[in-house]
Amino acid sequence: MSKLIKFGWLLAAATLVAQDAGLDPARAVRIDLPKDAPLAFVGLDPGDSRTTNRGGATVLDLRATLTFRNATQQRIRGISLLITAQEVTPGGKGSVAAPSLDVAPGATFPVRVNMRLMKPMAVAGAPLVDVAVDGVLFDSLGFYGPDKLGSRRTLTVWEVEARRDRKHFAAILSSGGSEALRQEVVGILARNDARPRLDVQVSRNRVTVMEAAAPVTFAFMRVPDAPVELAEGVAMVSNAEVRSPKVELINRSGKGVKHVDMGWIVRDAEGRDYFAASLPADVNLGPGERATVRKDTALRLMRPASGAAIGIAGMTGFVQSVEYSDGQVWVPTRAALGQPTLRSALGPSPEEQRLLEIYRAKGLDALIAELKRFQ
Amino acid sequence: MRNEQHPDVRELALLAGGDLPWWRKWQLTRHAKGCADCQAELGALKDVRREFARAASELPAGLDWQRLEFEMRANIRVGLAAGEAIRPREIAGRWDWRAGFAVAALATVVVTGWFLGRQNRVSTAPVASVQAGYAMAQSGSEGIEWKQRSGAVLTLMAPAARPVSYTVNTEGGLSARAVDEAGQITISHVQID
Repeated sequence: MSKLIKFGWLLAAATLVAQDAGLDPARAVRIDLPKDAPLAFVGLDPGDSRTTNRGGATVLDLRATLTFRNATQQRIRGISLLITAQEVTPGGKGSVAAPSLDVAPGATFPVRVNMRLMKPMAVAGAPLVDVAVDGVLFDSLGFYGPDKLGSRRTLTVWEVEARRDRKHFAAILSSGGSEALRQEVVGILARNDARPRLDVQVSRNRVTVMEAAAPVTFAFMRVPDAPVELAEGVAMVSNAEVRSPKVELINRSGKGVKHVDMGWIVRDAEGRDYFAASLPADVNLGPGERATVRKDTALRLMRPASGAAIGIAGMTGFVQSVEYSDGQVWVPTRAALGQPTLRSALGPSPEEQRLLEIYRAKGLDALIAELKRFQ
Repeated sequence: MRNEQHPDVRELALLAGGDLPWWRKWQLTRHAKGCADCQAELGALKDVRREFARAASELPAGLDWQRLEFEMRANIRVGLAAGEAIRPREIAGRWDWRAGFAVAALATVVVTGWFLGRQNRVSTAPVASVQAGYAMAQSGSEGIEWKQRSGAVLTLMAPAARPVSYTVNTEGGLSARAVDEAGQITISHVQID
């Protein structure tokens, strides 16, 4: 065998060793669960997870199922996990949340964490990803967790929306029977399919040379019973993007408000409405007080596939959710969401999406069974 | 590799598409040269690939293959359920060519869906992105890709072959929402500071 062939075999062998020298996926993930947590960590099933070394990088392909046990006497409705990857931490936070759960006391439940981390070569034995519980929401709307990501508010809003939507479907089933429920669901699916979509790029704190932009005032949708009123607002609009929104809020409720989430809908020259983005704002509004929210943000809105900018002809804002100072939340009623602009532009809530998926995948009987499970 | 240890058909499909790492490609190519079955399978996959490429060139731009695959699977499920409801009861164990045809058709649809979905995963453009300074997150073919200046990339992956809806907020947040095959909804979120 010539020296060249021997060298080739050695090189191939070395490459194989390098490819197989990955870390144990189960050890590459560290689960951080405080001792006082209302959950017990049962185990991690790494599934098809694997780590490989490619060139100078380590790739962790994690397809894991984390299993927890509800260690409390309350039913769990949602969980949010904080995902922290070494060297990815600066510049943001990542999370995986599972709302719409129904976990009985003592029962176990899975949370799937699928991620891929590619980073410069890892140190052997060192965990690549930390997974920590950021929040757990209970049936009583009680909450546990460090709440570094605002999970308390987010999980509570999803749960309140979920109860509203299940109640809506259950009421239709009760009053009109299964056929009425089917028609409602099919109608929502058709609207979702017909809902126009945009590609959206958000840039924060950006200093840029702007093309000619003009101020455009918001039209605000009156949402009955909303504790916060959107009084006036304006944003700078050019053909390609909209930036620096400014909105004035008034607390019309008798309680303090600490967070408002507004929806932002844009209308193109053809009169089509698109949901562009949410506009969240931490505020400290006493009853009757006003506040002005300014965002140093630019949104570039493009048509899917073509990437062409939409010509923005108008903007509409509305209140999506409100968090009071005592931690309770408000969300719009189904009737309020039935207004034509919202009906055509807004997508389903997470629970509505889950229920629609049950109908699509398993049929009407499964949907009815699911609705009854929560009654 | 001995002939009786045939490679998985998915690996052969990857080989046909030129998507295998070079070492595995060399192994499988070597095996196929000495294995008539795998050679035939490989040839068929290459034919299918060429046919897809030809057919795809005749389709309108902007088709959402992932969604289409999902629709096909959902419709197959509904169709099978309906078929089961009206199927006349037969003697167990009797072979029916129609059953074989149905299985073959189903397998073709699933493989086609997987293949097209895979093609889509390579070519899907971001539909949502958030950026602040050097930090950036964007929707990718498999979920939210979170890129750092250090070169590290963390992808929070959505369930495969499921429709994913993305939303952004003006604080630099990007969310991906999908329902997995078990019916559990999962919401991945990246908040750029």
